[in-house]
Amino acid sequence: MSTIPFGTRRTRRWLPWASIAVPTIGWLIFGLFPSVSTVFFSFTEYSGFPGTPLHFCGMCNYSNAFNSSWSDFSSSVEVTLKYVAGVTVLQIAIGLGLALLLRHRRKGFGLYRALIFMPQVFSVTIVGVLFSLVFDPQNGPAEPIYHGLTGGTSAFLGDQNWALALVVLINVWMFSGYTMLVYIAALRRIPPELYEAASLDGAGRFRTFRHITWPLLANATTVNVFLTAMGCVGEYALIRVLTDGNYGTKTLGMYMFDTAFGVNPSLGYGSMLAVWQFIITLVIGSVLLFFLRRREVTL
Amino acid sequence: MARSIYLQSRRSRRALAVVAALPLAAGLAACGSSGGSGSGSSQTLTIAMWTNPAAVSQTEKVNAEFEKQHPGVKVKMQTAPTAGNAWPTLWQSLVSAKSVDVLAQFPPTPASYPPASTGIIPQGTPALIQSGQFVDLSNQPFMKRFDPAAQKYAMGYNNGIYGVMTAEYVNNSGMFYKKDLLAKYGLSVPTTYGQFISEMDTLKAKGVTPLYVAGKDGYQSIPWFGIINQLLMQDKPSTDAPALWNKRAQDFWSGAQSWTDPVYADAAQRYEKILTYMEPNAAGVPAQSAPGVWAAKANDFPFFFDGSYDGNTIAQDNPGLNFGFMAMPGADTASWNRAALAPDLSWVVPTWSKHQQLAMEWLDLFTQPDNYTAWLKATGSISTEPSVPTPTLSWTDWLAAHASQGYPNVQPPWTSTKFPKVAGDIDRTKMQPFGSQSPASALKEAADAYKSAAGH
Amino acid sequence: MSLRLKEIARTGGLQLVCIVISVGFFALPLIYLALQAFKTNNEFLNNPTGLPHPWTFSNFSDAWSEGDFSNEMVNSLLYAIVPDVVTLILGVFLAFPISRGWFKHSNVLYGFFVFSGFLPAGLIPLFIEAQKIGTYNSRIGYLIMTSLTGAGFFFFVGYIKTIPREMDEAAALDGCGYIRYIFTMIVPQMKPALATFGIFGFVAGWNNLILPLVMLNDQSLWPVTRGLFSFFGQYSSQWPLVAAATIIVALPILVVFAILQRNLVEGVAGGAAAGSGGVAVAQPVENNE
Repeated sequence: MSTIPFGTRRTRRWLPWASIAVPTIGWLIFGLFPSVSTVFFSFTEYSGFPGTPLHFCGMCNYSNAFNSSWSDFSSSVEVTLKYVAGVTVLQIAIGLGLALLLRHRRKGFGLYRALIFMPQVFSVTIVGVLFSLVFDPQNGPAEPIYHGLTGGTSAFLGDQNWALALVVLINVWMFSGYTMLVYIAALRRIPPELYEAASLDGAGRFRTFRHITWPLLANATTVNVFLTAMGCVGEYALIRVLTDGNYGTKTLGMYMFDTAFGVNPSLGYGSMLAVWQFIITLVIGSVLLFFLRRREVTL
Repeated sequence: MARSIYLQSRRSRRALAVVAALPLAAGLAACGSSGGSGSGSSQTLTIAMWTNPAAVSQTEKVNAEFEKQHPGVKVKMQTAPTAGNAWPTLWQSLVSAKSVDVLAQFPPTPASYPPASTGIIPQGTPALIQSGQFVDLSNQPFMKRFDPAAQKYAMGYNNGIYGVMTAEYVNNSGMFYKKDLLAKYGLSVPTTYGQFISEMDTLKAKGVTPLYVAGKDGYQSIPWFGIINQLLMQDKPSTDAPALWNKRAQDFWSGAQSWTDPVYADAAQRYEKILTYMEPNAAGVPAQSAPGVWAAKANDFPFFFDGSYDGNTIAQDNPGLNFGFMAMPGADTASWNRAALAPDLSWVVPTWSKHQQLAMEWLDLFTQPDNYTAWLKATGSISTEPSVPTPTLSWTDWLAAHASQGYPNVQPPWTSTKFPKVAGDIDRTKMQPFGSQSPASALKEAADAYKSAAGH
Repeated sequence: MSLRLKEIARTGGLQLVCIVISVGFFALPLIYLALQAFKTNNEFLNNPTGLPHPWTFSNFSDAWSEGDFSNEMVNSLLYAIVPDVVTLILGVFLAFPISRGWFKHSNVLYGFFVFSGFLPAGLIPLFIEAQKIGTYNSRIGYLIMTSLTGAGFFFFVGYIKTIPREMDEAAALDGCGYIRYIFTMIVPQMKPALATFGIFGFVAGWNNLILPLVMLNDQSLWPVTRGLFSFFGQYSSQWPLVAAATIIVALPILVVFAILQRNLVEGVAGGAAAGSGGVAVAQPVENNE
C-alpha cells in the first residue's frame, strides 16, 4: 500500500475513501442491490403486482425449467449459444477481413472506416426499422435481389431457416466496425521489418499471414472474441425489433422478457432466467479467457 | 481501455433491456402510497390506453370535452403501442407505481379463473381483480347502458364487474375480401369451406394469389382459431358458447379432451389446406404494414385474414377500394361459419386511484350514446351498448347483418405460468406451412405437453 | 500493360472494393430508408423499391409536427449529456486512488468493481427502488439513476497508471489540493480516453429506449427514442412517415458522429493499444510499495 501525498496528516486517512464514496454508494444502490435482489426473486413465486402475494418456493422455478418447461428453456439456451457462436465467429472473420483491407492510411480510407463503424451509433429501434423495411418480402429490396440471384423466394425474417442467421448478420453489421478498428490498431503495431524478412525468405501471402500476422494479432483476437461474445449473450432488444423472438430466434434474453411481460407475468421465473443468463455469461467468459490466454502464450 | 468502453456501451444496452423487466418486480412498491381522496383546485386525471390511432384520437376528443366540463381538471393521456411489448411494459409500470386513474385493459374473461381445485393461481390482470385492485363498477349508473351478460363475461369475477368493455371486434375467423376482384372473376362471397377452396383454386388458375396474412407477427392464428371456433360451436345458439368453452377447459384438464382429438386434426388439415393458397412469403409480412399493402394491391390477394379493428385503416389507406369483412368459412355447413367475437378494450378504475369520482364521471361521458357512437365509427368496433347500433361503414355490411349471430371466442385450456407455452396452444410458426413440423406431430407435442404439465 | 498502369488499375480496383463494401453494405440500408421518406404513402405502396417520383418533402414536416420531437430532442440532449459528464468525473475520482494503490486492499477493490461488470443483468428490482426513493417518473430522478448506475469506470485505472506518480508528489509538495489536482492535472492527461468514453456514453444515453419506457411515463419527460417508439406504434402503416421520423431522430446522432468520427475511430484504435493487455477479468493492480 502506498501513501497518498495529498492532504494533511489527518485528512490522508479518509481522503481516498471520500474520493470513491459517491460512485461506490451510487453503484451499491443502483447496481449491486437490484442485481442481488434478482437472485432473491428467483426463489419466489410472484407476479409482481400490488396486492398480490409473494411466495417463497425454494427451487421451484429452477425445477420447473428442468421439468415441464424444459422444451422452452432448453431451446432458448440452444438459440442463445448458436447466436453467440455465430456472431462471434462472423464478426471476428469480417472484422479481420475489413481490417486487412483498410489498415493503411490511404485516400478515402478514413471515410470507408467511418462508414463501416457508423451503424454502431444507431439505436436498435432505428436498426430495427431499417431492416424490417429491407427484408419486407413485399416492399423491400432484399426479395427482388434474392430472387434475381437464386431464382428462389424467401420470407427472410419469417423463415425458420433464415431468421436467426439474419439477426446474427444484422448484429455483425452493427458491430463489426469496432472489431475492425481493434484489429487495425494491432496490425499497425506489427513491425514492418518482420514482413520484409518474410518476403526475403520468399514466403507467400498466405504463409506470411499464417506465421506472422495471425500470431501477432493474438492479443487483439482475445479482446475481440471476448468482447463480442460477452456483448451478445444477453441480446434482447435487437431481436425484439426484428423478429419478436419468432421463427427460431427466441434467445434466453427474449424468453426472460416474454415471461416477465406476457399475459401472465411471472417475476420469479423471469428472475430465474436472468440468473441462468448470468451463469452462462460467466461460463462462456471464463472458458474463452482460459483458452484465449493459453493460446496467446503458445503462439 | 477499449474493452471497457465497449463493455460500457454494450452493457448499458443490456441494462436498458434489463430495466424493462423491472416493472414486474414493482409489486413490492405496493406497500407504498395508498388510495384516498384527491382534492385541491387543480387535478390531473391520468388515462392510459394502448395505441390504436383512431381510438386514441377519439378518446382525446372525449378528454377535451371533459376538461371543458370540469374546469381545473387536466386529463393526461398515456399511450404505448402493443407491438414489441411496449404496452405491457407501460401497463405494469403504471399499475406498480399506482399512477393511473382510468386504465385500458384486455378483458380476462372466465378462462382466466380456473377452479381452485386445479391449484392454478391466476396471474396478471385476474390476480389484480381477485386481490381487489380494481373498483367494482356494477352499480355505476353508466353500466346500465351496457348488456350485463356481455360485461360480466368480459370483466366479471364473483358478483362484481371490474371494468366496462367498450370495444369488441371480430379477430379470430376475421377475413377481409375485395368485392370488385371477386366480381371480376365471377365469384360470390364464399359461405362454405368447400366453396372457399374451389374459389381459391379458380383464382390461382387465373394467376391471382388468393390469400394474404401477416405471418411474421403470427396472424395465422386467425384462421386457426376461426376454424376451431366453427367446428366446435357448430350451429349451437350463441348464448351456449361460454358454457361450451368452460366444459372444454374442464375436459382438457381432466384429460377427456386433448389436442390429438379428431376435431383438432380436422381443423389442422383445413388450416393447412387454406394456407396453401397464401402469398408464399406471408411468413415475412409484418402486421403493421399488412393492411396498407393489402389495400394498395387492388388486383391481387382477394382474401386477407385480419381482425375487424383494421377495417378503418384499410379504408383510409386506399379510399377507392371496394372491400368487405366477413367470418371466414372454415366449416362445410354455411350456418356454422359465424364470427367469433373478441371482447376488447375495457376501462378499469384502480381502487387506489386518487380521483375515483372524476374517473367515474369520465367513464360516464365516454359511454354517453353520442360519444359512444363516434367511438364506434372511429374504431370500427361492434357496439356493446344495446341502445347504440353498430354503425354502418363502407366495409361493415356483412358485420351489420351477421354480428348478432356471433359468439364469444373459444377460450384456451387452463394453464399456469408453469406450463410450457405449447401446452395451451400449438406453435404455428413451427408447424407447416410456416415451419417444418407436420400438423399431427405439432398436435401431439401440444397434447403431451398439456398432459404432463396438468399431471395426467 | 506497363507496371504503372497495372498499379493504377490495382489501386482503382481496391478503391472500388472498399466503396462497394463500405457504401454498398454499411451505408446503403440507411440511404434506402431515407429515400422512402421522400415518397407519398401511396407511391411507396405501389413502387416500394424505386426512386421517389416526384420528391415529396411533406413527410418530414408531418412527422415533426405529429411527433412532438422538438421537446423530446431537448430531453434527449439532457439525458445524454448530464449522466455522461457526471459518470466521467466520478469515474476518474473512483479510478485515481485505486490505481495509485492508496487503499489497504486496492486490488480487492479493483477486482470487486471489475466483477460487478459481469453481475446478472439483474437490475430487475431497480424499478421498485425507483418508486420507493422517488426517482420514478421524474427528470431529476432519471438523471440521478443514469448518472450513478455505471459508476465502475475501472478501466480508467489502467490509463491513470501511465501517468507518472512523481507528478502527484511534486504537485502535493507545491501545495496543490486533491480535487484541484485531479481537475487540473489528471483530467487533461486523460483527455483522449475521456473523449472516447464521452462519445460512447453520449451515444448510449441518446439511444436509451427501455429505461425511459419504464421510468418515465409522463410524455413531457420522454426522450426522442421513446417518442419515436410510440410514433411507430401510431403510424406504422405509413412507411414513408416512419422513415421520415427515423431520419429526424437519427440525424443529430449522425451529425455528432460525422463531426467526431475521427476522434472516435482513432480513440477506439488507440484505446485498443492500452486496453488489449487488460482483458484479464481480475488483473490485479500492482502494489507499488
